[in-house]
Amino acid sequence: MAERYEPKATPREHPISLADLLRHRATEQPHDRAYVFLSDRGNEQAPLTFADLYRRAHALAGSLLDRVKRGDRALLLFPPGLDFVVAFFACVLAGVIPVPMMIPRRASSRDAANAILADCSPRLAVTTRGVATTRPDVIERFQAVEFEWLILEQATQTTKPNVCVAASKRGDIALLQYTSGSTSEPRGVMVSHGNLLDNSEMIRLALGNTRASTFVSWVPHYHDMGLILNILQTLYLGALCVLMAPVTFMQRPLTWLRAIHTYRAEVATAPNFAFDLCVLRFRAEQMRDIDLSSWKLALNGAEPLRADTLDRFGSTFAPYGFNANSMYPAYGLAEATLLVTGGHRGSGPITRRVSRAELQKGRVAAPTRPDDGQVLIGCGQPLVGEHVAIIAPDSRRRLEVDSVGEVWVSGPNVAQGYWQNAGATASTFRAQIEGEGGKYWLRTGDLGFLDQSGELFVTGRIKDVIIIRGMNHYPQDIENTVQNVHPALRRNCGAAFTTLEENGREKLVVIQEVERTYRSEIAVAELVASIREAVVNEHEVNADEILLIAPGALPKTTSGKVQRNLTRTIWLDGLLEVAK
Amino acid sequence: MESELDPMESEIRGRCTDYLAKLLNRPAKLIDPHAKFARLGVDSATSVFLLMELEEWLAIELPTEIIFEYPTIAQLAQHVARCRASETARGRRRG
Repeated sequence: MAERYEPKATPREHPISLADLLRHRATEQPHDRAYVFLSDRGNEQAPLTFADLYRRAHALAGSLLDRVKRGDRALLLFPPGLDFVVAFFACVLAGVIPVPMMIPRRASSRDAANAILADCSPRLAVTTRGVATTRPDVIERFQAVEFEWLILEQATQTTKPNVCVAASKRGDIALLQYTSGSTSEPRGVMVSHGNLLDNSEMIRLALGNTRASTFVSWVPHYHDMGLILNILQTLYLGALCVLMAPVTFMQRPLTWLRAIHTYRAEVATAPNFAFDLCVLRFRAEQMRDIDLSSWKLALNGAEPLRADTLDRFGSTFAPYGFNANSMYPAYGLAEATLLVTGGHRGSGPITRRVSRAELQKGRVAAPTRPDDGQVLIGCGQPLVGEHVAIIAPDSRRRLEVDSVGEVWVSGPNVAQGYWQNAGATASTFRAQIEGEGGKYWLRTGDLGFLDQSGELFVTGRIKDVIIIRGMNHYPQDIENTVQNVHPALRRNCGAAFTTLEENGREKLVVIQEVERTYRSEIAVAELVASIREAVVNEHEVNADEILLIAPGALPKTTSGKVQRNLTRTIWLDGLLEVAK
Repeated sequence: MESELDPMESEIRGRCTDYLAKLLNRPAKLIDPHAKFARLGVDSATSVFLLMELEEWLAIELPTEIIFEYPTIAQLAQHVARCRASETARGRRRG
């Protein structure tokens, strides 16, 4: 029987901000290694102790305050590595709001990055000399009035060497996360110091971590799971965080496992596809002498979990000391800082077999026939201090156990809202349950149910987002990219959606209406290839199927909006009119 | 007109085409060896997988940057064939 984890009551410092927390760590454990970065071969590069981190962040904070003031936003465009961590904490100490961003892909139009710039009006972007040298296009492209670039290596010693950094309060914004929201409608989630400290404490209790819990991660630092669950959580604990570049993992997945072994890591987190990739790339000769028994928390989040993935990973790596009970499903979203539900440490995932047919109708029931069964994996229980409710999206009434509805969350981890977007903030963050009075809830846009024991099962989504390899993509952005390829591709007459294949892969389908007037002139194959190229360059994903259809063939609402779900249904039934 | 490919380069080209055909779920004959990878729908994850496949098969190391320098199957195959030839020559000299 699995050992039950009992959280121990430990005396906690009560930092009121991340800055407090960093100062505390630098004072209490100055020489302990805080962060280590591994090269693509798994070799350690110059580590940062807590004291190093504080010293470097403090110096950079001075340079920031030479240029901007508290509350200004600073874009952080960093390649994988520890410079990002220094820059992030420099912002924290200066009271400047960091906005982590992925470095735009070379061939992209950079509309997404520009949208973020326009939305939060940063005064500064911080980057490395390496990026400035290899990507002058990025520096050139992002120029604005009252905006400058700060190259980390060139940040001269501050004119105020003993910069007195004003204290941040719990309610102050510590971070702006742009992981939700499309290019046309960017959404900067405002995460306060209080949100971060509270969610960190909730995570600590759920995972049962201590100062001795080493984390290993390759998840990008501009992804909320990479930043909050790894970089910030280890600081919160006073533990060691070992980081690797995402491309290192994608190229050689087993280096992640080797790092877990080398550092005797307790926690390593990844989206579901990564566990499949390890199985695919398993080579006994590369796994020799690897012992994964220290790995107590294999947190699986950012995209739906699959039962077959967990089974295959468990059986492939059991001979190397991996305990299947270490699999730790989790669910969360940026609007709730990060984590909303988590499993029970050491118990492994909870699964439930339900009727597929009934589930499609929003009902949870036992399968009536063998081929009607579908295995669902629980995402865990709500964290300490939080409430999760299942709500009927139309009536806003609370639903009972084993009924599918929208997942709503309330708790200290719910973020402050969307940056300068009162309308979206009100509808997403200030929802109220019918008949339950004044309490505000966060609407997640995800669908699911709670079972008798309080376990959350996430079964689908109402919000229009496509998740591929743990990253969010917005259908309207993909459709827009497609329509930009050629004037024959009718504006607002396209649909991008995914369908789930047998093997669990999400297949991206793009359906686009083509103007009659051009149809004789265009080589369809050429157009399809151009569309494919644009989608790869802009979004880094492949459109598995591209279908060009006759004008007017897409189902639309009375106001002219394409109905994506209905399009998917019609397409699956083979009823769409292909353009001749 | 293309001059004749040496057998190694031809084999590598074929391997790339077959592997991408499988990954992209398209018939191999529809995969143009002279089309840029993005036009084929090869995103960065797929390109990493392709390089890994070649690395394992040929027992050589291929840095991810070569996808940018040799952005078609034909160019990549030519480069990889050269890499392998010099690896083999080095091996023979050492032996």
